[in-house]
Amino acid sequence: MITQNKNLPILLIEDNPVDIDLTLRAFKKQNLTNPIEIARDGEEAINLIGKWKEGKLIPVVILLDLKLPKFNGLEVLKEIKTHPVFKTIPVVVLTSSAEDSDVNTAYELGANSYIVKPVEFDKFIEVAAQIELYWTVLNISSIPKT
Amino acid sequence: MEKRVEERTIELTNSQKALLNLLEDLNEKSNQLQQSTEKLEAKNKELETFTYSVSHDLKAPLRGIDGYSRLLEEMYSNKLQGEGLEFIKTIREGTKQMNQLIEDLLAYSRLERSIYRTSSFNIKELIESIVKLLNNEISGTKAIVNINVENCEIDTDFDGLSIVIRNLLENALKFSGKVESPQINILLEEKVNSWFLTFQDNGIGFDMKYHDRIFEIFQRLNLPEQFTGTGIGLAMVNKSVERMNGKIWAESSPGNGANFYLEIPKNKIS
Repeated sequence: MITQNKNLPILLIEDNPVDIDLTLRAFKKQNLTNPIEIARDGEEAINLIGKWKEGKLIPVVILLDLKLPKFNGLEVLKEIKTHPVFKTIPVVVLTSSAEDSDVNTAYELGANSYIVKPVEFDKFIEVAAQIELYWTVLNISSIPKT
Repeated sequence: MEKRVEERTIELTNSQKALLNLLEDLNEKSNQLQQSTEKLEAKNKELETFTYSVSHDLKAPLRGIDGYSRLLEEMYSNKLQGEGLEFIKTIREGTKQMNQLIEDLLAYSRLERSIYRTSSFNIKELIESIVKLLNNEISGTKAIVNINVENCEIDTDFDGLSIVIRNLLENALKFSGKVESPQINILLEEKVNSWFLTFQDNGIGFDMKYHDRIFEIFQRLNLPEQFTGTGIGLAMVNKSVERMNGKIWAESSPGNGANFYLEIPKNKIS
């Protein structure tokens, strides 16, 4: 399971190019072996569900921003978590917002974790390291079979 | 006789008509007032959501500024002259302050949007838990905090009072942090209709001509290089106290510490 996790992609759903670049750099610092896939808006993220059905590799974890163009992060979360097959993919909400209403709604919709993106880059690197360690090494996911 | 009755009837009908007109006027005014209140509430809500939204949107570019200046420092420090490295330090210091300002603004807007709820709780336990929470700041300044508060239950907004106590303590710690042997006393007194809390410190104090300004948002009395801060802490105290229907004021003079007084009305059990 552990070796399998290492080859599966991490899906980053994020619109901001700066945040994408910094996240990639933060993961690179940890010598992350998992490939990282990126969806730039809610629509692109939701369209991935169809591609997974067609046999595209399913991510080991999804890192989801809440503020996204077209469909927002909570809508994407709902789409994934109400899907009969793909609802078991772990979704980690990674956002600037620490508002109770966002946290509560995300968990109600089935988020597996909720992490606030720190502004300081040094802290952001720590967060990336912990996400990687937990979701790709420690955690054993139930990866849907297609 | 008949004529008088008729006259009287006309008089009565007229005054009835006048009354009806008056009633109609009042109803119209009341409707107008209701509409203005609704409009005002909607505008307020809009403003609160605006603060929340803007604060979050401001964080993304800030993450970029901090991230890339950190990377610049890390990857190109050998190519930068001494002054260049200083510039990076200043940029990163600036982002830190900006982040604090956004965090404080968010806390203020959260307070405005939060639901006001009263409950009964032990005030001594609350104060002790906040002092414990600020343990690092307290030991950092080597301040002595005396809690002269009896074990008693009070009825008010728990979250609001927590904000007040925490901010008053942080304020006292900040402004007494640089004096020799800083000391903070917290006292509670029960009055017939209220609870009376006092926060005494032996810090730098302030000029009483500014006593009202200190509770205004963004208002500061010191230069940023002397004391850091965003001018939101005491504004949050003020807002919370307002919601509790309480009173807050301060007495001080430069160099002689400051006393902050807080009066919380007892909630009448109905």
